[in-house]
Amino acid sequence: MSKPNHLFTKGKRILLGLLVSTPALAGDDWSFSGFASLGAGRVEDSAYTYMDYSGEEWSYESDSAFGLHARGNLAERLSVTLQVVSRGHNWDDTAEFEPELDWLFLSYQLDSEWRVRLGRMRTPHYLYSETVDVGYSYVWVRPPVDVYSPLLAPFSNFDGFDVAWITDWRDLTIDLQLLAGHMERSRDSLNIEVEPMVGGNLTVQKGEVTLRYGLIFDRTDIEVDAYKEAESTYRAAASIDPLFAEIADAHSADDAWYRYQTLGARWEHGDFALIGEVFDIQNLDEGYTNNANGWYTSLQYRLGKFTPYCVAGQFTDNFNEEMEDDIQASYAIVPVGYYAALDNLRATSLAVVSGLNYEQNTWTVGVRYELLSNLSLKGEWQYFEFAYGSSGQMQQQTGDATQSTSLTTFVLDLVF
Amino acid sequence: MTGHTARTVPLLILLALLQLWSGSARADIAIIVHPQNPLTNLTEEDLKKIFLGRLPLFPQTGQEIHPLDLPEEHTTFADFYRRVLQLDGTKLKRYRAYYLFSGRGRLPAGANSVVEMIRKVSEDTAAIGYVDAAHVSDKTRTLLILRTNPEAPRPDTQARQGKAATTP
Repeated sequence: MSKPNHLFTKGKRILLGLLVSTPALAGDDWSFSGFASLGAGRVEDSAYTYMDYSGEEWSYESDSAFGLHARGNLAERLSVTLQVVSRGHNWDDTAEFEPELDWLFLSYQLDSEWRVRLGRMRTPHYLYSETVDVGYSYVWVRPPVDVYSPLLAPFSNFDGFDVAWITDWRDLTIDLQLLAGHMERSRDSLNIEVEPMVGGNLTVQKGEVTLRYGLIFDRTDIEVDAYKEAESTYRAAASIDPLFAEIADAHSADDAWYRYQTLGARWEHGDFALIGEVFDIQNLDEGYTNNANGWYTSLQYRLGKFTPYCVAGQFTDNFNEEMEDDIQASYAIVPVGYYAALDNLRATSLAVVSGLNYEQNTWTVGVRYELLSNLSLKGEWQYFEFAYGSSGQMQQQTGDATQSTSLTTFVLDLVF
Repeated sequence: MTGHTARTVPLLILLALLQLWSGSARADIAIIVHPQNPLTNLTEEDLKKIFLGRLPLFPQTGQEIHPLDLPEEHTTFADFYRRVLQLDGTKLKRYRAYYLFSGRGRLPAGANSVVEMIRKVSEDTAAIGYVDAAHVSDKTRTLLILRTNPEAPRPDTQARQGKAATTP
């Protein structure tokens, strides 16, 4: 496991070395650009929070981000690209506004259709995954949460390589990207490691219509400290009945193959655009599972400098359903009252599972206004509705919450 | 591909186009390259792909292309993108933000003026740029002439509007 990490660290050093040690390159060989977003938002109901937005007051970090991008030509057809991004809110353990290396890769153009890249890259899960932080590049305040969910945030970039084939066939334009690599992230008490990550995506455009299909397989190890203890207690109870061994297995998230599938479509007709994406995440192995699926449909229409839009979407998270069934079944074998420790643990496990099984629907209306040629202002109102007594992708702060709330956000997006 | 052909073909095209479109009120746009660029012709489709960033190497020669842009405020800039890509400033900017920050490649380098555009093209065999056809200089070679008449778009331009609308 440590070997590729080491290799990448070494590669990163070489790349950074190239960047700082080539002052002799002419100015024309380097280009620098960047982007910035300043956001402000507030949740309607103080029972919920989303990112750093709450019902208490307006807050300004969650949609704020700054990025710097540099690209240098090292030789004919060979270039290096670097992008550092500082975000006001991170879904992993990165501190607020701590700069992160999102892109650092060498790119080589083999011929007019084939290109290879090596280094750190954003994981191209969905249509806008690679520019999620660049608000200027899309119409919304942020890409629809039902597909661009926090669940995937720890997987946002990877170290590895990709091969791209960009061509035309009859009146179709075709983009094929194949990738392989690994990633490692930590989030809350979770340590996530993916090795290998393999997959690709195919984008076909014909006239006004673009279709994209993506497929990625990740071999994932998820380490959760709290689960380890539970796992060993259940493992010990296996001497009472083998069913507890199965419950113990469901706490182990090691070495599981996950399949990420997505289908996206975009139809643009003059000032009108219709965009939709659907995704499905499945654990292909037994045991611990965190499956999810969702979709959104977005409609926009440009009227001069204004682009009003509306979005509808749904997200479903299925967490360890098998474990829930097994625990319920275990009450027939060992009823409550025999072992206090086991009773407490089973109750806790069921509460955790039900908290992570949720469904949400969202409806969004918003407008983008072009202030300057490189500056836009957006305002958006997003209504969340939660099923199964859950709080969807929001965090619930108090027990007596209603089953819906809304989030209002304004954001200024700049590119330079 | 002799020097003779390289010089006469675009000249003939130029003359033919000038004759055909002499009635047009708007300025035509000349696509210019270095005089020693071996390319003799370029389709409008290839031109579109070059400025969208989808064609990084010159067809036939395999040399890396260095496209150049006039400033956004320049009338020829807007005319060029409306004519070739059917994109206005806003859509183009959004497409380019997506293209650049998703690590797909580089954007055209900038030339501050027509004179600088001509100078940069005349100094770089891999450069390609565009100027008002009335301002073509002997320092560069014209590969293609585009007619610009935004007041009266042709019906087929309307129909093809979505073709280049890869704006996210």
